[in-house]
Amino acid sequence: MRRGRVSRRNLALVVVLLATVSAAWAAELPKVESLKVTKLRMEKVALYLCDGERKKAEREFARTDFREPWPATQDATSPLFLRVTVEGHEYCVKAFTVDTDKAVSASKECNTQVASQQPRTAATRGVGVGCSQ
Amino acid sequence: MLAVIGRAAAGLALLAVTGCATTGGESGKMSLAPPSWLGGKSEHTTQISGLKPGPYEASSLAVGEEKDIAQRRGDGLGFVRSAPIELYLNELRSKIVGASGKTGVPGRVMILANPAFAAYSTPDGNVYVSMGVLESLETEDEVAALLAHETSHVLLKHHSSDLMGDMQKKAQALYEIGVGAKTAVSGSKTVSKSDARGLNQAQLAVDATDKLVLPAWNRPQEREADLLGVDLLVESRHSAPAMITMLEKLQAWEKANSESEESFGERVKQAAQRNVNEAVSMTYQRMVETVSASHPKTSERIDETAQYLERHYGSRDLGAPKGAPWTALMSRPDVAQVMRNYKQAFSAKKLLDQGKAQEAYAAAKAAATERTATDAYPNWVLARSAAALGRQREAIDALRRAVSSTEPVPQVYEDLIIANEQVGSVPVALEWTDRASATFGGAPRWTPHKIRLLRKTGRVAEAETLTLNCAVSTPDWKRPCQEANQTPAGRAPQR
Repeated sequence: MRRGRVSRRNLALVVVLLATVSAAWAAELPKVESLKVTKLRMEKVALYLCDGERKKAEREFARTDFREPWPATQDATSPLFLRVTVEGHEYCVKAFTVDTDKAVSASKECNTQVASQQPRTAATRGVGVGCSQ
Repeated sequence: MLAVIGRAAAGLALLAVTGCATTGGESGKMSLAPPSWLGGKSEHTTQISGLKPGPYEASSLAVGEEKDIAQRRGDGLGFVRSAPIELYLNELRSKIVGASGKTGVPGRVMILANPAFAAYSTPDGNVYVSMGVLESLETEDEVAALLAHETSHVLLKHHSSDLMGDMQKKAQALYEIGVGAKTAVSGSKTVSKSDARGLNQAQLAVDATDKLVLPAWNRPQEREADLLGVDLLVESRHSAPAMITMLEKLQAWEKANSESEESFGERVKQAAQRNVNEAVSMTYQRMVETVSASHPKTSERIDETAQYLERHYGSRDLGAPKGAPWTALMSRPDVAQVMRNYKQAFSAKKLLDQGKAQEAYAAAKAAATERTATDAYPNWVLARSAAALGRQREAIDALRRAVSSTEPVPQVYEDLIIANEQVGSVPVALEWTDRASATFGGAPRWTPHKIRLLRKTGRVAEAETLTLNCAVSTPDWKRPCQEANQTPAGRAPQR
């Protein structure tokens, strides 16, 4: 009886310890960024099964049928794919075929002089000149 | 006489157009197929399939690799020199050029001392990338994408279309000279009404070419460079989707740095209080820029590049982008130090412009240390901020270091010219103008200075000749040259 009570206490301790360790481990994991697919760049976007070889599309989704954003996360196995949820099913999609709400950081550099004259043909156009500070 | 000049001008412009059409194609041979930049390419063929392997034929607009570098050095704030970054970028560019099948492509990569997101290439094959763009890119593949885009402009001879604008401006300059000659011969002090109308029309034509026709012409070129860039990335075994992530970064930068409607409205309001014509001109410029500069929208370029990538390479394993080599380079202590110090120098200049001399001085002091202790730009900013605080000796020392730097910046020369002119040492100022011109590959930026100073020393005839030469051979600088030629003439030197 006494032994049983000790065991239960030990068990509780082990559970607490495990919970603490797993919480710490989870905190160390890179955070999975929650994204939203906001636009399809193709007329038809190929949706792949994430577990498969991703060589043959499971289905195609037409741009004209795209009504609301798809929840998405970066695929852990390849940076070239996103995991998306479409109509309740999970698929993988080539990241470059869709536009997301992922924030791309950019510095603000106004009134910078790229060249003394108009940028030449191949130049990235003279953006940033005279913009609001 | 005017009719003849007018016809000649029209002929020159036509020649420029037809010249572009032939030089835009491969090797400049006559071909019935439309040039690729006019959108004649089928969507089923890749851009690279139209690029004939073999020796690269130099552009007729090339001035020589080194001279081009010297001139571009004089355009902005100079170059940032860092051997490890330059080596890395040039090796990357070599791989990209090698993948094109073209041999003997000239040029190298230079880093612009500029915090903006900017890059361009020139007919000499040189590729100029700003420090700001290098800081924004995250993987080797994104850097390769930027270089592949710029190299594509070189391989496709896109710079040839600049010829149209240049020829038209030269034709306009000749037309103006003709009107001037006619007026002088007739003994009249004013230009006749019909001639004035002709001059106005010529100027409008040049404006239209500069602001509307050329950008429109360039739109397909930007797309073409994106797409050939994708081919080159695939062929050089880089991750081709990096072209899209690189463009996404450009898009984010454009968004962060575009002038808001409210801010523009405020500027127009202020201008209108000073001068109504100025406000009208600003609105007109804005309208023209909206039509020209913002197209093709980067979002459209991204979509088209994505569609091209999927259409031609969708079934291939495109490979994951490699972040490690680029991160390793940028975090090397020597590289990080140079990047950090230039950022400090830019920040110091900004503070100085805001009138915060003390803070600017502290930032400039930190910028002109260690690996950049003798660099011209950080020392020039230090000299300016030290002078603003009345630390003349320190300012002179910094300016001396800036002048003797192996990597000169034009601002130092500008300061020396103006300082000498202000204290009345016009011949010394003239000497500095010649030195600047020699240092920066004869860049036209120095010509108005020389014209002004020549007039001040009484050498009016020389100033007149130089003004004429400036208008015809460097039409973009015609106006500053002509304005400089209005300087009151000083006493001619005793012979």
